Amino acid sequence: MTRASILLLALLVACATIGDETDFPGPLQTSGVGPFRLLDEAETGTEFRPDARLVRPQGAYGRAMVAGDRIFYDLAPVVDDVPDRAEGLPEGDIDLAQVGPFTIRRGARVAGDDAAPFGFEPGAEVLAATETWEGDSLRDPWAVESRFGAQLYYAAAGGIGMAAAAELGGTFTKAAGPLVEDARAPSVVEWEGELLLFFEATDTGTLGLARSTDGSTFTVETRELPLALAGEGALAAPGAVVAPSPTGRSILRVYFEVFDAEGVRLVSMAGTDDLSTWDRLETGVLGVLEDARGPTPVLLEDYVTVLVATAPFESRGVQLRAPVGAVAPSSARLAPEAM
Amino acid sequence: MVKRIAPLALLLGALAALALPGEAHATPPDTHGFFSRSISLGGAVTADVEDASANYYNPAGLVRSGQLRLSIGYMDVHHFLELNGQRSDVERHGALIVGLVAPVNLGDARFAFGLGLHLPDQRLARTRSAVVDRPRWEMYDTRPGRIYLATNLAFSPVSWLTLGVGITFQAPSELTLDIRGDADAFMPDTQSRLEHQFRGDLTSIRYPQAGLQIRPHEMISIGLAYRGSFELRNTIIALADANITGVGEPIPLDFSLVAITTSMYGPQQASLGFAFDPTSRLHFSVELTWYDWSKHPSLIADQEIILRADPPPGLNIDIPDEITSLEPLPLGLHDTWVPRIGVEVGLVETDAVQVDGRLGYVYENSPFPAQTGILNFVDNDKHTFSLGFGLTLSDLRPTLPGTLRFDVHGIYSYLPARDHVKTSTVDPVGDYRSAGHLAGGGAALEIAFE
Repeated sequence: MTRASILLLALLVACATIGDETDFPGPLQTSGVGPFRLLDEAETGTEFRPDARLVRPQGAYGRAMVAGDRIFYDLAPVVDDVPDRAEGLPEGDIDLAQVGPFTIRRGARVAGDDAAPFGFEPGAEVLAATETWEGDSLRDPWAVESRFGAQLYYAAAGGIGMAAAAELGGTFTKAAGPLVEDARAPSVVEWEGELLLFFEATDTGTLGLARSTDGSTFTVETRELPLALAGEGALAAPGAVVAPSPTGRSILRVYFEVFDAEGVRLVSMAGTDDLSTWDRLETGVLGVLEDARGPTPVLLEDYVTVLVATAPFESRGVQLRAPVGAVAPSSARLAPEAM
Repeated sequence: MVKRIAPLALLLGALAALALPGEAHATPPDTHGFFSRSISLGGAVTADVEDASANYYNPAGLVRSGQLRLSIGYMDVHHFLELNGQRSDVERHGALIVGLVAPVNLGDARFAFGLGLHLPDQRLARTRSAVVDRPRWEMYDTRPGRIYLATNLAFSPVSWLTLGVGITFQAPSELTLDIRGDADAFMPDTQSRLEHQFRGDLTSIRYPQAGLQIRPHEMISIGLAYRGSFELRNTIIALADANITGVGEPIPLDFSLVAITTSMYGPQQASLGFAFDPTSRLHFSVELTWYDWSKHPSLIADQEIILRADPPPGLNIDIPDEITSLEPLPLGLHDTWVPRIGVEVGLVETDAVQVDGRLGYVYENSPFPAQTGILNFVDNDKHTFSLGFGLTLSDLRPTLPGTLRFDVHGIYSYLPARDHVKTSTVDPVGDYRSAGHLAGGGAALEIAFE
């Protein structure tokens, strides 16, 4: 008995030396504050450089956003007889004289077992400017599906308009507009039974907020959300998302463009859980991408956030922009089952 | 455009990284217990412990039995800890445990000397800096990865009273990194000539423990134990005396960093225990331990950084006017009161063999607050249930003039989910939920000479 006990203990001690080493704890992020990592070719399935481009370049893209399995974007073709680029135009800006009118298009996620998880096929036109107040271009699409059905918000010359459909893949019919004047870059989310419309107030260079209980009529609550830090310039192009946290609360995040105190354009964000007090991130979230514009967030599983934005590229001497994607936390890798 | 010099940035970054925050700790027995029998009783043994585990639980118990006891054991605990449902990869903790109780009689006075050793099987010591925005299970990630060594002396002035004192050893460190030479600004890989020296010193600190046991009646024991606080302050000194070359005249660069970090902290603690033996085959014990966690120092390094560089006029180099040191951040820990319960039942009792069954329960409320700010030291409340058996062989003469006891134990700890809701909605980490389980077991063999 004694020998057996000693033998058993000796075996236990000997086995104990088979140890394993663990690494430092991995990064964890549920707040979507970045820094974001550009998606790679395996995640987007595109061979176009940079790898983060989400669709094949077809012209000048204004803003792209992903809703469900679809991507909505505004696109303008390069004109046949391209004039010289206007002098003094800021680097990265599209010269509107070099492209035609913007229309809103809808693409679908690339299907198939081998398809990249965040790649999209170019789509057909779903909306074009037809109303007098719209001017000749429709821009900045934002599609949302809520208890009010599917709605596609857009920016036009006279403000923000809306078209409705039975579903995001259906035929959109325009409602009377504009919903909000002197505004562009609409972003709509459902929050506590209401639809919140964030927009860029073109007359003040600030971000505004309007509310709706039916999705078709909005009441402007403010044209100047208190999101700017001291010394910052104009804020533009909001992209909002309601993010559930692991603890059960909902956080409303708004990503936007901002010129910092040194005049550098960057993409930053703010968050709130009650709409009355906002927390503002003091840094950019897309430092990996120079001159990113029009950020639109997408939530995936496991608190992963993909931020779609446009990045500049040049084609045949014409300055254009194309949608790209970035992900946070940067350690996350997009897999088909996560979509 | 500002021209940045890569080697300078790399050097400063590497040296500054050495001064990251340290770790909150106590000792391995604080976390996982000491020897199988005491663990299976939930650690509620302060009142009447008399085996080698008295070296940790109450040194007064060393003199209680008057027997020479040699013990060796092994324990292993696996951590199934999760953040947001994802496994946190906290490694297992296994350790060899050795104990000695040596009685000495000087006239009518009874003394005993004790030695306890907890020796982790994967490494002798572990110190990992904490990255502020990476949540870490503070009590389990690196805390048990230390040697625990305690020596004690006990004295029994009268039959109903035993007293014990002792000291426990821990090892702080002083590390010095000294870099000299030339660093090329633009071809650092091929043109730099840098030499470095590294020096590490492991010293030792000691902290006290003491205890008493009172036996007012043969069925009742009362114990009181105290363990002192300790703080391991690791010192890191980084010195750079280099020239930046490749930009014309060499630019002399002097950089010094002295960081003093609390790498390990154990709170002072006191346990009051009662044991009651209504029959020879039944034993109850309860205990309450106070942990003085509220005096936990900041884990952020107290550091001083000095940078001197004199670039020639006209060379536009971005050298910070001031390198800000890390600000100490209060951890906000609070004291805890930990109740323990143990029951031991004699299942078989003959002249030669005795089999005991044991049950224990411990509730440890976390001293860490929910991590709502910039810090991410994760900890949860813990309910620990333990089960054990002991086999004692008494009739071993002439092979062994005494008894042989073999103990086994298993533990299961449940950590209820805890929400860490950040004050800021743009926190670098964001909200998360921590939860998990621990499971482990162990065995020990004790030879007690008559």
